[in-house]
Amino acid sequence: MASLLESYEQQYSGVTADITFNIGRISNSHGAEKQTYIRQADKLFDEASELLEQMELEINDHDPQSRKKYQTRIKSYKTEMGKLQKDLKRAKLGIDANRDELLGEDTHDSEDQRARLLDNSERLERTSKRLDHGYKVVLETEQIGTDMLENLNSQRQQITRSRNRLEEMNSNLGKSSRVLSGMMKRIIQNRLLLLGIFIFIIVIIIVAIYFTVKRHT
Amino acid sequence: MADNEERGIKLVQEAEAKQKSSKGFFSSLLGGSSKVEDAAELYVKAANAFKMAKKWAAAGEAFMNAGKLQLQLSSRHEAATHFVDAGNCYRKGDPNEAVNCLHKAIEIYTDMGRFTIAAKHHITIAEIYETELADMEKAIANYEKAGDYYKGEESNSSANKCLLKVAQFSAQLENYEKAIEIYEQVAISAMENSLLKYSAKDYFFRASVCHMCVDLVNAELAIPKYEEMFPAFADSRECKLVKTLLAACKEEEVDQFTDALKDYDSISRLDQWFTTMLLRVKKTLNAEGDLC
Repeated sequence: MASLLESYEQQYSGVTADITFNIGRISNSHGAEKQTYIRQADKLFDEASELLEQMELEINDHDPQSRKKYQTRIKSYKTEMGKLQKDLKRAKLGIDANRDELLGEDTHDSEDQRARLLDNSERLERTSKRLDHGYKVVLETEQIGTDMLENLNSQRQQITRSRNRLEEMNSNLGKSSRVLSGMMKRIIQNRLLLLGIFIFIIVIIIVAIYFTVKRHT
Repeated sequence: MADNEERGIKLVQEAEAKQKSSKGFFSSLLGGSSKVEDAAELYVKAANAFKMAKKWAAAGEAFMNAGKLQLQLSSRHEAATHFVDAGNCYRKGDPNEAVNCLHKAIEIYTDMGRFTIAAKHHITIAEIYETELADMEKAIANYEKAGDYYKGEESNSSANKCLLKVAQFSAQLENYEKAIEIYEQVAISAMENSLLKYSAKDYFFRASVCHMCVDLVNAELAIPKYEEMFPAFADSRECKLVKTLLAACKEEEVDQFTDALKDYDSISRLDQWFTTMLLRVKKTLNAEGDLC
Protein backbone atom coordinates (compact mmCIF):
# COMPACT_ATOMS: atom_id res chain seq x y z
CA MET A 1 0.00 0.00 0.00
CA ALA A 2 2.59 2.52 1.09
CA SER A 3 4.84 1.79 -1.85
CA LEU A 4 1.95 2.26 -4.27
CA LEU A 5 1.31 5.64 -2.72
CA GLU A 6 4.96 6.54 -2.95
CA SER A 7 5.08 5.59 -6.60
CA TYR A 8 2.03 7.81 -7.18
CA GLU A 9 3.79 10.69 -5.45
CA GLN A 10 6.86 10.23 -7.57
CA GLN A 11 4.76 10.21 -10.72
CA TYR A 12 3.00 13.31 -9.54
CA SER A 13 6.19 15.23 -8.95
CA GLY A 14 7.41 14.16 -12.39
CA VAL A 15 4.19 15.44 -13.96
CA THR A 16 4.34 18.78 -12.15
CA ALA A 17 7.95 19.25 -13.29
CA ASP A 18 6.85 18.61 -16.87
CA ILE A 19 4.02 21.06 -16.54
CA THR A 20 6.29 23.80 -15.26
CA PHE A 21 8.68 23.14 -18.10
CA ASN A 22 5.86 23.30 -20.63
CA ILE A 23 4.55 26.53 -19.20
CA GLY A 24 7.95 28.09 -19.54
CA ARG A 25 8.13 26.97 -23.18
CA ILE A 26 4.61 28.24 -23.94
CA SER A 27 5.36 31.76 -22.88
CA ASN A 28 8.42 31.79 -25.10
CA SER A 29 6.87 30.33 -28.26
CA HIS A 30 4.25 31.40 -30.81
CA GLY A 31 1.64 30.09 -33.16
CA ALA A 32 1.42 26.36 -33.89
CA GLU A 33 4.19 25.44 -31.50
CA LYS A 34 2.41 27.25 -28.76
CA GLN A 35 -0.74 25.27 -29.50
CA THR A 36 1.09 21.92 -29.28
CA TYR A 37 2.68 22.92 -26.00
CA ILE A 38 -0.66 24.04 -24.67
CA ARG A 39 -2.20 20.70 -25.61
CA GLN A 40 0.62 18.82 -23.97
CA ALA A 41 0.25 20.86 -20.84
CA ASP A 42 -3.48 20.12 -20.76
CA LYS A 43 -2.86 16.41 -21.10
CA LEU A 44 -0.33 16.53 -18.28
CA PHE A 45 -2.89 18.32 -16.16
CA ASP A 46 -5.41 15.58 -16.76
CA GLU A 47 -2.82 13.00 -15.79
CA ALA A 48 -2.00 14.91 -12.63
CA SER A 49 -5.64 15.16 -11.54
CA GLU A 50 -6.11 11.44 -12.24
CA LEU A 51 -3.11 10.68 -10.06
CA LEU A 52 -4.52 12.82 -7.27
CA GLU A 53 -7.83 10.96 -7.47
CA GLN A 54 -6.14 7.61 -7.30
CA MET A 55 -4.08 8.75 -4.37
CA GLU A 56 -7.22 9.75 -2.56
CA LEU A 57 -8.74 6.32 -3.16
CA GLU A 58 -5.56 4.72 -1.86
CA ILE A 59 -5.45 6.60 1.38
CA ASN A 60 -9.01 5.57 2.13
CA ASP A 61 -7.69 2.05 2.58
CA HIS A 62 -5.13 3.16 5.15
CA ASP A 63 -5.59 3.55 8.88
CA PRO A 64 -6.69 6.95 10.26
CA GLN A 65 -3.33 8.33 11.42
CA SER A 66 -1.43 7.89 8.20
CA ARG A 67 -4.61 8.96 6.42
CA LYS A 68 -4.40 12.40 8.00
CA LYS A 69 -0.80 12.79 7.00
CA TYR A 70 -1.51 11.83 3.43
CA GLN A 71 -4.59 14.03 3.28
CA THR A 72 -2.62 17.12 4.19
CA ARG A 73 -0.10 16.16 1.55
CA ILE A 74 -2.78 15.79 -1.06
CA LYS A 75 -4.21 19.18 -0.11
CA SER A 76 -0.86 20.80 -0.69
CA TYR A 77 -0.62 19.02 -4.06
CA LYS A 78 -4.02 20.38 -5.00
CA THR A 79 -3.09 23.96 -4.15
CA GLU A 80 0.06 23.47 -6.22
CA MET A 81 -2.05 22.27 -9.11
CA GLY A 82 -4.30 25.30 -8.77
CA LYS A 83 -1.32 27.61 -8.93
CA LEU A 84 0.05 25.80 -11.96
CA GLN A 85 -3.31 26.12 -13.67
CA LYS A 86 -3.32 29.84 -13.08
CA ASP A 87 0.16 30.05 -14.50
CA LEU A 88 -0.92 28.05 -17.50
CA LYS A 89 -3.83 30.39 -18.08
CA ARG A 90 -1.55 33.36 -17.86
CA ALA A 91 0.86 31.76 -20.28
CA LYS A 92 -2.00 30.98 -22.66
CA LEU A 93 -3.10 34.55 -22.62
CA GLY A 94 0.44 35.69 -23.30
CA ILE A 95 0.92 37.66 -20.17
CA ASP A 96 4.41 38.68 -19.38
CA ALA A 97 5.34 37.90 -15.81
CA ASN A 98 7.60 40.90 -15.63
CA ARG A 99 4.86 43.31 -16.73
CA ASP A 100 2.75 41.80 -14.05
CA GLU A 101 5.28 42.44 -11.36
CA LEU A 102 5.77 45.99 -12.55
CA LEU A 103 2.22 47.12 -12.83
CA GLY A 104 0.48 45.00 -10.22
CA GLU A 105 -2.09 42.28 -10.76
CA ASP A 106 -5.01 44.38 -12.02
CA THR A 107 -3.93 44.87 -15.59
CA HIS A 108 -5.47 41.79 -17.12
CA ASP A 109 -9.14 42.40 -16.53
CA SER A 110 -9.91 42.59 -20.24
CA GLU A 111 -8.84 38.99 -20.74
CA ASP A 112 -11.75 37.53 -18.90
CA GLN A 113 -14.18 39.64 -20.85
CA ARG A 114 -15.64 36.62 -22.52
CA ALA A 115 -16.23 34.92 -19.22
CA ARG A 116 -17.74 38.10 -17.86
CA LEU A 117 -20.10 38.49 -20.79
CA LEU A 118 -21.35 34.95 -20.39
CA ASP A 119 -21.80 35.53 -16.70
CA ASN A 120 -23.74 38.71 -17.29
CA SER A 121 -26.07 37.22 -19.82
CA GLU A 122 -26.75 34.33 -17.47
CA ARG A 123 -27.55 36.79 -14.73
CA LEU A 124 -29.89 38.72 -16.98
CA GLU A 125 -31.72 35.56 -17.88
CA ARG A 126 -32.12 34.59 -14.29
CA THR A 127 -33.41 38.04 -13.45
CA SER A 128 -35.95 38.03 -16.24
CA LYS A 129 -37.16 34.59 -15.21
CA ARG A 130 -37.61 35.81 -11.69
CA LEU A 131 -39.48 38.87 -12.87
CA ASP A 132 -41.77 36.70 -14.95
CA HIS A 133 -42.45 34.48 -12.03
CA GLY A 134 -43.12 37.49 -9.83
CA TYR A 135 -45.54 38.85 -12.39
CA LYS A 136 -47.42 35.56 -12.48
CA VAL A 137 -47.65 35.54 -8.72
CA VAL A 138 -48.96 39.09 -8.69
CA LEU A 139 -51.66 38.21 -11.20
CA GLU A 140 -52.68 35.21 -9.17
CA THR A 141 -52.86 37.39 -6.10
CA GLU A 142 -55.06 39.83 -7.94
CA GLN A 143 -57.36 37.03 -8.98
CA ILE A 144 -57.56 35.76 -5.42
CA GLY A 145 -58.30 39.26 -4.23
CA THR A 146 -61.14 39.57 -6.71
CA ASP A 147 -62.64 36.29 -5.58
CA MET A 148 -62.40 37.34 -1.99
CA LEU A 149 -64.19 40.57 -2.77
CA GLU A 150 -67.00 38.64 -4.42
CA ASN A 151 -67.25 36.40 -1.40
CA LEU A 152 -67.36 39.36 0.91
CA ASN A 153 -70.10 40.93 -1.14
CA SER A 154 -72.30 37.87 -1.06
CA GLN A 155 -71.67 37.39 2.63
CA ARG A 156 -72.60 40.97 3.25
CA GLN A 157 -75.92 40.43 1.54
CA GLN A 158 -76.48 37.27 3.52
CA ILE A 159 -75.83 39.06 6.77
CA THR A 160 -78.18 41.89 5.84
CA ARG A 161 -80.90 39.39 4.95
CA SER A 162 -80.41 37.45 8.18
CA ARG A 163 -80.62 40.64 10.19
CA ASN A 164 -83.86 41.62 8.51
CA ARG A 165 -85.30 38.19 9.10
CA LEU A 166 -84.30 38.28 12.72
CA GLU A 167 -86.01 41.63 13.17
CA GLU A 168 -89.16 40.25 11.57
CA MET A 169 -88.96 37.22 13.80
CA ASN A 170 -88.54 39.43 16.82
CA SER A 171 -91.68 41.41 16.05
CA ASN A 172 -93.55 38.18 15.31
CA LEU A 173 -92.52 36.75 18.63
CA GLY A 174 -93.69 39.91 20.36
CA LYS A 175 -97.04 39.62 18.62
CA SER A 176 -97.43 35.97 19.52
CA SER A 177 -96.59 36.60 23.15
CA ARG A 178 -99.24 39.32 23.22
CA VAL A 179 -101.76 36.96 21.66
CA LEU A 180 -100.93 34.31 24.22
CA SER A 181 -101.32 36.64 27.16
CA GLY A 182 -104.65 37.76 25.63
CA MET A 183 -105.67 34.11 25.51
CA MET A 184 -104.68 33.64 29.13
CA LYS A 185 -106.78 36.61 30.13
CA ARG A 186 -109.80 35.31 28.23
CA ILE A 187 -109.45 31.90 29.84
CA ILE A 188 -109.36 33.42 33.28
CA GLN A 189 -112.36 35.62 32.44
CA ASN A 190 -114.31 32.60 31.18
CA ARG A 191 -113.50 30.67 34.33
CA LEU A 192 -114.62 33.53 36.55
CA LEU A 193 -117.81 33.87 34.52
CA LEU A 194 -118.46 30.15 34.84
CA LEU A 195 -117.87 30.32 38.55
CA GLY A 196 -120.22 33.33 38.84
CA ILE A 197 -123.04 31.56 36.95
CA PHE A 198 -122.57 28.43 39.01
CA ILE A 199 -122.88 30.38 42.26
CA PHE A 200 -125.94 32.21 40.88
CA ILE A 201 -127.64 28.93 39.99
CA ILE A 202 -126.92 27.51 43.42
CA VAL A 203 -128.33 30.63 45.04
CA ILE A 204 -131.52 30.32 42.92
CA ILE A 205 -131.87 26.63 43.83
CA ILE A 206 -131.48 27.46 47.51
CA VAL A 207 -134.05 30.25 47.21
CA ALA A 208 -136.44 27.90 45.31
CA ILE A 209 -136.08 25.22 47.98
CA TYR A 210 -136.62 27.84 50.68
CA PHE A 211 -139.83 29.07 49.07
CA THR A 212 -141.22 25.53 48.52
CA VAL A 213 -140.47 24.67 52.13
CA LYS A 214 -142.16 27.89 53.31
CA ARG A 215 -145.35 27.18 51.22
CA HIS A 216 -145.66 23.72 52.71
CA THR A 217 -145.50 24.95 56.27
CA MET B 1 -73.56 -2.35 10.20
CA ALA B 2 -75.75 -5.37 9.75
CA ASP B 3 -77.66 -4.91 12.97
CA ASN B 4 -78.39 -1.30 12.07
CA GLU B 5 -80.00 -2.60 8.95
CA GLU B 6 -82.01 -5.15 10.90
CA ARG B 7 -83.10 -2.49 13.32
CA GLY B 8 -84.14 -0.35 10.41
CA ILE B 9 -86.19 -3.10 8.84
CA LYS B 10 -87.87 -3.82 12.16
CA LEU B 11 -88.73 -0.17 12.65
CA VAL B 12 -90.18 0.06 9.14
CA GLN B 13 -92.41 -2.90 9.87
CA GLU B 14 -93.58 -1.33 13.12
CA ALA B 15 -94.30 1.93 11.35
CA GLU B 16 -96.29 0.19 8.63
CA ALA B 17 -98.30 -1.67 11.22
CA LYS B 18 -99.06 1.57 13.05
CA GLN B 19 -100.07 3.24 9.83
CA LYS B 20 -102.46 0.45 8.91
CA SER B 21 -103.94 0.35 12.35
CA SER B 22 -104.54 4.06 12.26
CA LYS B 23 -106.84 3.58 9.31
CA GLY B 24 -109.29 1.58 11.40
CA PHE B 25 -112.58 3.24 12.32
CA PHE B 26 -112.28 3.75 16.02
CA SER B 27 -108.73 4.82 16.12
CA SER B 28 -109.38 7.49 13.53
CA LEU B 29 -112.04 8.81 15.85
CA LEU B 30 -110.05 8.64 19.03
CA GLY B 31 -106.32 9.01 18.58
CA GLY B 32 -105.78 8.64 14.84
CA SER B 33 -103.48 11.60 14.41
CA SER B 34 -101.16 10.60 17.19
CA LYS B 35 -100.85 7.16 15.63
CA VAL B 36 -99.88 8.68 12.30
CA GLU B 37 -97.39 10.92 14.06
CA ASP B 38 -95.87 7.93 15.79
CA ALA B 39 -95.70 6.10 12.51
CA ALA B 40 -93.93 9.02 10.89
CA GLU B 41 -91.45 9.17 13.76
CA LEU B 42 -90.77 5.47 13.46
CA TYR B 43 -90.11 5.88 9.74
CA VAL B 44 -87.59 8.64 10.51
CA LYS B 45 -85.82 6.45 13.05
CA ALA B 46 -85.73 3.61 10.56
CA ALA B 47 -84.30 5.91 7.90
CA ASN B 48 -81.54 7.03 10.25
CA ALA B 49 -80.69 3.44 11.03
CA PHE B 50 -80.47 2.69 7.30
CA LYS B 51 -78.26 5.74 6.85
CA MET B 52 -75.87 4.39 9.45
CA ALA B 53 -75.83 1.08 7.63
CA LYS B 54 -75.28 2.98 4.37
CA LYS B 55 -78.34 1.51 2.69
CA TRP B 56 -79.17 4.71 0.85
CA ALA B 57 -82.12 3.47 -1.17
CA ALA B 58 -83.91 2.07 1.88
CA ALA B 59 -83.17 5.24 3.87
CA GLY B 60 -84.51 7.40 1.06
CA GLU B 61 -87.68 5.33 0.87
CA ALA B 62 -88.22 5.56 4.61
CA PHE B 63 -87.80 9.32 4.53
CA MET B 64 -90.28 9.55 1.65
CA ASN B 65 -92.87 7.61 3.60
CA ALA B 66 -92.32 9.79 6.63
CA GLY B 67 -92.78 12.86 4.45
CA LYS B 68 -96.02 11.57 2.96
CA LEU B 69 -97.40 10.85 6.41
CA GLN B 70 -96.52 14.35 7.50
CA LEU B 71 -98.40 15.71 4.52
CA GLN B 72 -101.43 13.80 5.73
CA LEU B 73 -101.02 15.55 9.03
CA SER B 74 -100.71 18.78 7.03
CA SER B 75 -97.48 19.81 8.68
CA ARG B 76 -95.92 20.88 5.43
CA HIS B 77 -92.62 22.11 6.83
CA GLU B 78 -91.85 18.75 8.34
CA ALA B 79 -92.85 16.99 5.17
CA ALA B 80 -90.61 19.19 3.07
CA THR B 81 -87.62 18.60 5.35
CA HIS B 82 -88.17 14.86 5.14
CA PHE B 83 -88.33 15.01 1.36
CA VAL B 84 -85.06 16.95 1.29
CA ASP B 85 -83.44 14.32 3.51
CA ALA B 86 -84.76 11.65 1.18
CA GLY B 87 -83.24 13.51 -1.74
CA ASN B 88 -79.87 13.59 0.00
CA CYS B 89 -79.95 9.86 0.62
CA TYR B 90 -80.96 9.03 -2.93
CA ARG B 91 -78.28 11.33 -4.28
CA LYS B 92 -75.66 8.79 -3.40
CA GLY B 93 -77.46 5.96 -5.10
CA ASP B 94 -80.05 6.93 -7.66
CA PRO B 95 -79.82 10.55 -8.88
CA ASN B 96 -83.17 10.50 -10.68
CA GLU B 97 -85.06 9.60 -7.55
CA ALA B 98 -83.17 12.31 -5.72
CA VAL B 99 -84.32 14.86 -8.26
CA ASN B 100 -87.92 13.68 -7.82
CA CYS B 101 -87.81 14.05 -4.07
CA LEU B 102 -86.25 17.47 -4.31
CA HIS B 103 -88.90 18.57 -6.79
CA LYS B 104 -91.62 17.55 -4.35
CA ALA B 105 -89.91 19.47 -1.59
CA ILE B 106 -89.60 22.53 -3.85
CA GLU B 107 -93.32 22.38 -4.65
CA ILE B 108 -94.15 22.53 -0.98
CA TYR B 109 -91.77 25.41 -0.37
CA THR B 110 -93.03 27.50 -3.27
CA ASP B 111 -96.56 26.86 -2.06
CA MET B 112 -95.63 28.30 1.28
CA GLY B 113 -93.86 31.19 -0.38
CA ARG B 114 -90.35 30.32 0.84
CA PHE B 115 -88.63 31.10 -2.40
CA THR B 116 -85.08 31.37 -1.09
CA ILE B 117 -85.07 27.82 0.14
CA ALA B 118 -86.73 26.64 -3.05
CA ALA B 119 -84.00 28.41 -5.02
CA LYS B 120 -81.33 26.71 -2.94
CA HIS B 121 -82.80 23.34 -3.73
CA HIS B 122 -83.04 24.18 -7.40
CA ILE B 123 -79.31 24.79 -7.27
CA THR B 124 -78.80 21.38 -5.67
CA ILE B 125 -80.85 19.74 -8.39
CA ALA B 126 -78.91 21.61 -11.06
CA GLU B 127 -75.66 20.42 -9.52
CA ILE B 128 -76.88 16.84 -9.59
CA TYR B 129 -77.76 17.22 -13.26
CA GLU B 130 -74.40 18.80 -13.92
CA THR B 131 -72.23 16.25 -12.18
CA GLU B 132 -73.96 12.96 -11.91
CA LEU B 133 -76.41 12.94 -14.76
CA ALA B 134 -74.54 15.25 -17.17
CA ASP B 135 -77.77 16.67 -18.52
CA MET B 136 -76.79 20.24 -19.29
CA GLU B 137 -80.14 21.54 -20.47
CA LYS B 138 -82.02 20.54 -17.36
CA ALA B 139 -79.18 21.93 -15.29
CA ILE B 140 -79.50 25.24 -17.13
CA ALA B 141 -83.26 25.28 -16.59
CA ASN B 142 -82.84 24.72 -12.88
CA TYR B 143 -80.12 27.31 -12.51
CA GLU B 144 -82.33 29.76 -14.36
CA LYS B 145 -85.28 29.16 -12.08
CA ALA B 146 -83.02 29.51 -9.05
CA GLY B 147 -81.69 32.79 -10.42
CA ASP B 148 -85.22 34.07 -10.99
CA TYR B 149 -86.29 33.22 -7.47
CA TYR B 150 -83.21 34.90 -6.06
CA LYS B 151 -83.86 37.99 -8.14
CA GLY B 152 -87.40 37.99 -6.80
CA GLU B 153 -86.04 37.93 -3.28
CA GLU B 154 -83.54 40.69 -4.06
CA SER B 155 -80.50 38.56 -3.26
CA ASN B 156 -78.53 39.83 -6.18
CA SER B 157 -75.23 38.19 -5.46
CA SER B 158 -76.73 34.70 -5.32
CA ALA B 159 -78.77 35.51 -8.42
CA ASN B 160 -75.60 36.55 -10.20
CA LYS B 161 -73.89 33.34 -9.23
CA CYS B 162 -76.69 31.27 -10.76
CA LEU B 163 -76.88 33.42 -13.87
CA LEU B 164 -73.17 33.03 -14.44
CA LYS B 165 -73.54 29.29 -14.41
CA VAL B 166 -76.43 29.55 -16.84
CA ALA B 167 -74.28 31.64 -19.16
CA GLN B 168 -71.36 29.25 -18.91
CA PHE B 169 -73.41 26.24 -19.82
CA SER B 170 -75.42 27.95 -22.53
CA ALA B 171 -72.22 29.05 -24.20
CA GLN B 172 -71.00 25.48 -24.05
CA LEU B 173 -74.22 24.39 -25.69
CA GLU B 174 -73.69 27.10 -28.32
CA ASN B 175 -76.53 29.30 -27.14
CA TYR B 176 -74.30 32.34 -27.48
CA GLU B 177 -76.93 35.05 -27.53
CA LYS B 178 -78.16 34.19 -24.10
CA ALA B 179 -74.66 33.91 -22.72
CA ILE B 180 -73.65 37.30 -24.11
CA GLU B 181 -76.74 38.93 -22.70
CA ILE B 182 -76.19 37.51 -19.25
CA TYR B 183 -72.50 38.37 -19.16
CA GLU B 184 -73.16 41.94 -20.21
CA GLN B 185 -75.90 42.34 -17.68
CA VAL B 186 -73.81 40.95 -14.84
CA ALA B 187 -70.79 43.00 -15.86
CA ILE B 188 -72.79 46.22 -15.88
CA SER B 189 -74.22 45.56 -12.46
CA ALA B 190 -70.77 44.63 -11.22
CA MET B 191 -69.29 47.89 -12.36
CA GLU B 192 -71.52 49.87 -10.11
CA ASN B 193 -70.55 47.98 -7.00
CA SER B 194 -67.19 49.09 -5.66
CA LEU B 195 -66.42 45.62 -4.38
CA LEU B 196 -67.15 43.83 -7.61
CA LYS B 197 -65.60 46.05 -10.22
CA TYR B 198 -62.43 43.99 -10.35
CA SER B 199 -64.42 41.02 -11.55
CA ALA B 200 -66.18 43.11 -14.22
CA LYS B 201 -63.26 42.82 -16.62
CA ASP B 202 -63.43 39.06 -16.44
CA TYR B 203 -67.10 39.19 -17.46
CA PHE B 204 -66.38 41.49 -20.37
CA PHE B 205 -63.63 39.17 -21.49
CA ARG B 206 -66.01 36.23 -21.49
CA ALA B 207 -68.64 38.21 -23.34
CA SER B 208 -66.11 39.15 -26.01
CA VAL B 209 -65.03 35.54 -26.43
CA CYS B 210 -68.66 34.54 -26.93
CA HIS B 211 -69.05 37.32 -29.49
CA MET B 212 -66.06 35.95 -31.33
CA CYS B 213 -67.65 32.52 -31.46
CA VAL B 214 -70.75 33.97 -33.04
CA ASP B 215 -69.46 36.45 -35.52
CA LEU B 216 -66.28 38.44 -35.84
CA VAL B 217 -67.97 41.64 -36.95
CA ASN B 218 -70.12 41.58 -33.85
CA ALA B 219 -67.05 41.20 -31.73
CA GLU B 220 -65.36 44.16 -33.35
CA LEU B 221 -68.38 46.32 -32.71
CA ALA B 222 -68.77 45.14 -29.17
CA ILE B 223 -65.26 45.70 -27.92
CA PRO B 224 -65.14 49.47 -28.36
CA LYS B 225 -68.54 49.60 -26.72
CA TYR B 226 -67.22 47.73 -23.71
CA GLU B 227 -64.14 49.91 -23.55
CA GLU B 228 -66.33 52.94 -23.51
CA MET B 229 -68.45 51.54 -20.73
CA PHE B 230 -65.57 50.44 -18.65
CA PRO B 231 -62.27 52.23 -19.20
CA ALA B 232 -60.26 49.90 -17.02
CA PHE B 233 -61.09 47.06 -19.37
CA ALA B 234 -59.15 48.76 -22.14
CA ASP B 235 -55.88 48.50 -20.24
CA SER B 236 -56.17 44.93 -19.20
CA ARG B 237 -54.17 42.17 -20.81
CA GLU B 238 -57.37 40.38 -21.66
CA CYS B 239 -58.54 43.21 -23.87
CA LYS B 240 -55.20 43.28 -25.66
CA LEU B 241 -55.40 39.55 -26.19
CA VAL B 242 -58.89 39.81 -27.67
CA LYS B 243 -57.76 42.55 -30.02
CA THR B 244 -54.78 40.47 -31.19
CA LEU B 245 -57.01 37.48 -31.70
CA LEU B 246 -59.48 39.51 -33.73
CA ALA B 247 -56.71 40.86 -35.91
CA ALA B 248 -55.38 37.34 -36.40
CA CYS B 249 -58.83 36.11 -37.35
CA LYS B 250 -59.33 38.87 -39.86
CA GLU B 251 -56.08 38.04 -41.56
CA GLU B 252 -56.81 34.33 -41.13
CA GLU B 253 -53.42 33.71 -39.58
CA VAL B 254 -53.77 30.61 -37.50
CA ASP B 255 -50.19 30.82 -36.26
CA GLN B 256 -50.61 34.36 -35.03
CA PHE B 257 -53.72 33.25 -33.22
CA THR B 258 -51.97 30.33 -31.54
CA ASP B 259 -48.95 32.43 -30.65
CA ALA B 260 -51.01 35.10 -28.97
CA LEU B 261 -52.84 32.44 -27.00
CA LYS B 262 -49.64 30.74 -25.96
CA ASP B 263 -48.25 34.03 -24.71
CA TYR B 264 -51.29 34.74 -22.63
CA ASP B 265 -51.45 31.21 -21.30
CA SER B 266 -47.81 31.25 -20.19
CA ILE B 267 -48.58 34.14 -17.89
CA SER B 268 -51.96 33.14 -16.55
CA ARG B 269 -53.60 29.88 -17.40
CA LEU B 270 -56.79 29.74 -19.41
CA ASP B 271 -59.35 27.55 -17.74
CA GLN B 272 -61.35 24.77 -19.36
CA TRP B 273 -64.32 26.88 -20.53
CA PHE B 274 -62.04 29.37 -22.25
CA THR B 275 -60.08 26.63 -23.94
CA THR B 276 -63.27 25.11 -25.34
CA MET B 277 -64.56 28.44 -26.65
CA LEU B 278 -61.27 29.54 -28.16
CA LEU B 279 -60.84 26.15 -29.76
CA ARG B 280 -64.18 26.63 -31.49
CA VAL B 281 -63.09 30.03 -32.75
CA LYS B 282 -59.86 28.51 -33.98
CA LYS B 283 -61.76 25.78 -35.78
CA THR B 284 -63.93 28.29 -37.60
CA LEU B 285 -60.74 30.11 -38.50
CA ASN B 286 -59.25 26.95 -39.93
CA ALA B 287 -62.41 26.22 -41.87
CA GLU B 288 -62.40 29.68 -43.40
CA GLY B 289 -58.74 29.29 -44.23
CA ASP B 290 -59.45 26.05 -46.04
CA LEU B 291 -62.30 27.52 -48.04
CA CYS B 292 -60.17 30.41 -49.15
